[in-house]
Amino acid sequence: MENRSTAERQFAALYRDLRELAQRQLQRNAGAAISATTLLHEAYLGMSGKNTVFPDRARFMGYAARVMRGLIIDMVRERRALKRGGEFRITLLPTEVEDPGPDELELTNLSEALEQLARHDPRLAEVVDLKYFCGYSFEDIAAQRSTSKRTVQRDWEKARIVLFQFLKAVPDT
Amino acid sequence: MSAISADQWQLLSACLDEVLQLPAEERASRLTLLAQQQPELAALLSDYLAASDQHEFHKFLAGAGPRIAEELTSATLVGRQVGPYIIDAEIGRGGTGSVWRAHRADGRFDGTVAIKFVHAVWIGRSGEHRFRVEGKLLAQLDHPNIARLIDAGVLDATQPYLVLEYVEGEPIDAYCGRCQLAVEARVKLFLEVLAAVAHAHSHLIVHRDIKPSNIFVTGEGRVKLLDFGIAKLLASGVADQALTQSGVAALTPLYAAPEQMLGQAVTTATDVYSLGLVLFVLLTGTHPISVENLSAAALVHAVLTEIPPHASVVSSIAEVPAHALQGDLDNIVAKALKKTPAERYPTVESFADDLSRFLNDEPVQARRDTFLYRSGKFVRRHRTGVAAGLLVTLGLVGVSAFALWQMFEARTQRDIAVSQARLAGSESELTEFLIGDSLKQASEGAARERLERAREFVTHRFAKDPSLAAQLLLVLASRYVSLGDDRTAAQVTSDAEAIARRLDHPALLGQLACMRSQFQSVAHDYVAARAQLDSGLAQVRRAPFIPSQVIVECARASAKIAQSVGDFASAAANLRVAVQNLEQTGAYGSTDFVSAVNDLALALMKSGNFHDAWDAESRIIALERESGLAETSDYFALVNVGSTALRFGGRPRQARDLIDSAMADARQDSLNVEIPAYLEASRAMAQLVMGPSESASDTLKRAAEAARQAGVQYWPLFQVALVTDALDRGDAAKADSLWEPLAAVENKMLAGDERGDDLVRLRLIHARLEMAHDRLESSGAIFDDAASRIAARRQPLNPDATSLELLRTQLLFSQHAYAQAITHADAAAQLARATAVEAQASAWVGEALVWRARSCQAAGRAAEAAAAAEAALPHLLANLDDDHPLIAWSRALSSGH
Repeated sequence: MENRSTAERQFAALYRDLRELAQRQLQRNAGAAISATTLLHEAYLGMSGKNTVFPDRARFMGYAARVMRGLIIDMVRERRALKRGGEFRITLLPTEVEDPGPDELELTNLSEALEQLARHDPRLAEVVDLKYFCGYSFEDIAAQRSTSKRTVQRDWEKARIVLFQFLKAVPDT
Repeated sequence: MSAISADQWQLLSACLDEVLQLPAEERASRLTLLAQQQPELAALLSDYLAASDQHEFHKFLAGAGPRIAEELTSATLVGRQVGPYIIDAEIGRGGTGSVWRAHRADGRFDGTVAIKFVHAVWIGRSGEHRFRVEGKLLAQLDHPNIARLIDAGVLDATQPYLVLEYVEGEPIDAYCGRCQLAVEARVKLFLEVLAAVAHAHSHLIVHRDIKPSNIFVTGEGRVKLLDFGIAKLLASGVADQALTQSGVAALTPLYAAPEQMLGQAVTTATDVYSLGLVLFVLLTGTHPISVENLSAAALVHAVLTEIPPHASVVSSIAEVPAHALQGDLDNIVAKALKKTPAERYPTVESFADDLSRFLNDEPVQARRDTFLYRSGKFVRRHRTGVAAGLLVTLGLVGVSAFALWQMFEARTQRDIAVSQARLAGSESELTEFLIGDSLKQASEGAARERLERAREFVTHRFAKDPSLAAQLLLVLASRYVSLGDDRTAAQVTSDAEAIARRLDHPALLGQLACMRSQFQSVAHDYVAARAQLDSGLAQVRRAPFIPSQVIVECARASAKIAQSVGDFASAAANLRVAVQNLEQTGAYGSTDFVSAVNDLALALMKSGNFHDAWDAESRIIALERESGLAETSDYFALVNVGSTALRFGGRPRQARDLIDSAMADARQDSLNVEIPAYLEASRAMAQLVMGPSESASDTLKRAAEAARQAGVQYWPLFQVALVTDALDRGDAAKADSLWEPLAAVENKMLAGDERGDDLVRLRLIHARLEMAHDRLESSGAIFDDAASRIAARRQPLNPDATSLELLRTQLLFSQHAYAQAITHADAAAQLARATAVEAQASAWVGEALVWRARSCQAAGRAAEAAAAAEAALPHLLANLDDDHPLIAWSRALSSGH
């Protein structure tokens, strides 16, 4: 019990940090998409000092990537809400023609599938979080984990196969 | 979700690992084997593997993940505190940014304001200070009919914003229509507008962006002018060069005055023009230029040349009958709309006065235009210098006077299309591309992504304006080229082409033909390239006016063809035109600009003009450094070209120092930066010219070997430098061994009748080698061959001319033909001066003078020898190491021997 609430608090704290960083960057960028990897980097820098939970950067990143996944899905959800309802806007911005990207439902399903995978093989799920949600390259991930790019690529392929199979069982809405 | 137990997972995972490592052919057999041993597991495994064969699997998690982007800002701004205000809601979003309603946080007085967030790109890097300063000036404007600028600030040090008086109402034309106002009422309302503008003018503030949507009328019928002076506030930030169109980027072309479009001075008369247009709209319900189906470029052309019709002729408002407009009002409006500022009402007051006279039935000042004026198009006169230059550099022969005048007119109307693009594309990203900054600073992946979005944006957004879309697509295509993605560039170009053909748009078709010509030149198909260029120029001549970017492409195409026949002087002239036009289009600092200047520098170098080459290259080196790009590979390439120009131009010390400081800059910014091998090699070559240096020789040796193994084309040049170094030190044996690998290359080039510079350089060094071994006959023969090759180029000033003369001098000296040696030493000195970066301080001039001195001395002309040696010294000391043999010679000879 004790462990769970600490974990929850930790998750919430990091979530909050990431969210603030994201907001700041969005305003700074005035329209362009922001980089998840930069957010994580900033978050890590912000945390070193107060942080004793993560002995090294790689473990932080793996964990933070998961938090990032949650944050991104929440943001996508909010964006959908704004687009559907919200105020009338006279917008001429390119976002009108932008590719909508994966929708909220897809992402939620994927997230659940990832949680399931994480129960069996957390490191495998981490690769997906780092690559797909946070945008790290194979090289970056390999460097973080002190392993080879080839290994990471194999893990990624394996994770894809497993997740794909997990998701097949989900009924389409 | 298919549940799977922990045990199952263990087995499955291990099997997957194993099977995935096997090549495809072996997988099937492995599975069959497994099926026999553990059928359940095998079934599970093949389920999983079967999935990966499915079509959808390819796309699963492929590509970029979800993005965190823009819309969030709305959710996060509401409730946010900005200075003393709290944001309530978004009111609208326009070209320059978004506008929000806010109220005072401390509740001190019930004040609602409008806060306008402006995209930072409008303010620019150095603009923040000016933004605040100008903002303070504008805030002093206090008039009941002008929406006050309350404050200007910058949030979080990055997000500029303006706090404006909150105005609720509707645009003036809508108001007049809704209230069904008659002529007098409209004019009276308009006079209130004029009073407000006059007030601002008396404070020396020009609006620059007057249009009906900027003139609101409140519920109580009060006029409120919005965005006063804001255009200037924004414009003052963006790079001056990019905004030669003084604020056009923030304007609507419909209401811009001709001088604004031409980038000329904006004065109070500019506001008069825009006011005249507003009056026209208020009185007739339409805009004087019929804008339906008009391309942006044609629209601007119309603004510049078409005389607007009389208001009475086009009136379509029930409450304003034609007869009410005929006569005085027609003339008043026409006077305000004169193309030449000097012919309009000089002040807003005089405009207002004439309108008052109209209302009071008094005679007005505005006179009716002559029939001649009305029936012709408005034409401007310009100086002729530009046209002649254009003729020469575009290689046009036998162009008629009319065509010449047309091209000429077009040229001075500048890049109307690009200004339009900046204008219409003021919606964030596209503008950034056209200004060019951010694309360079983005990582390649990010840049590519933004380009894709821009491409889609252009196609959708400008679907109604295809010619503008086509022109923008061409701009995007060139960005793809600069990213090295020729394939996508070609695709985008053919999109543009389809549009151009459909529209039969001569300027665009000409531009496309010239671009194609360049591609063909790059592929060495010069016959086709020339044909394309001719066809392109033919098209361009059909165009009513030629946007600058078309000129740029034509010039570049001509330059490439000129280079193919070795006419580098012509090529350089054409590239200069291209560069000048790029500056005009506001592309100064963009990748296009940098690459054009670099091409120019290379052409200049080929024509022996190292001084101008260094001049051009040093500009863009400084530019790139200022843009913070000092550790990119592009930057290194530029530094290399610059260093080479300096070295060939007789400034080896400067050449070396340039590279040293570039390396130091790069290392300062990023410890892990990789200095490319060719740059180290260039530095070493410069160092070796300055004098013998073990470390430089070593570096060069390593670089030559590495380059040779990598199969890089220019490795012989490094090797040649090593041979030269050995010869300079008098080590003939070493020179021989270094020459060995080059001998084969030389033979191959001779057999292949190679025309390039490389063969000549090999021959020259070979000749020197022979001379070092006292084989003067052989040396002479090789030398003569090299000389004839150079002569065949028909370029008196070329990079090898000086070396040739110096070698000839040495040859004659070794043959004891001192008088002739002196003559040729002088010739060498002359050539060296002509091609020097700095005629007063050139290592080659110094060397030539030393040879003169030596020859004079050997010929018994001691006084002349001393004089020459003394003259040589400053050249040598400025550029060479103190222990260089030439310096020793010149010291020995000048002090008398």
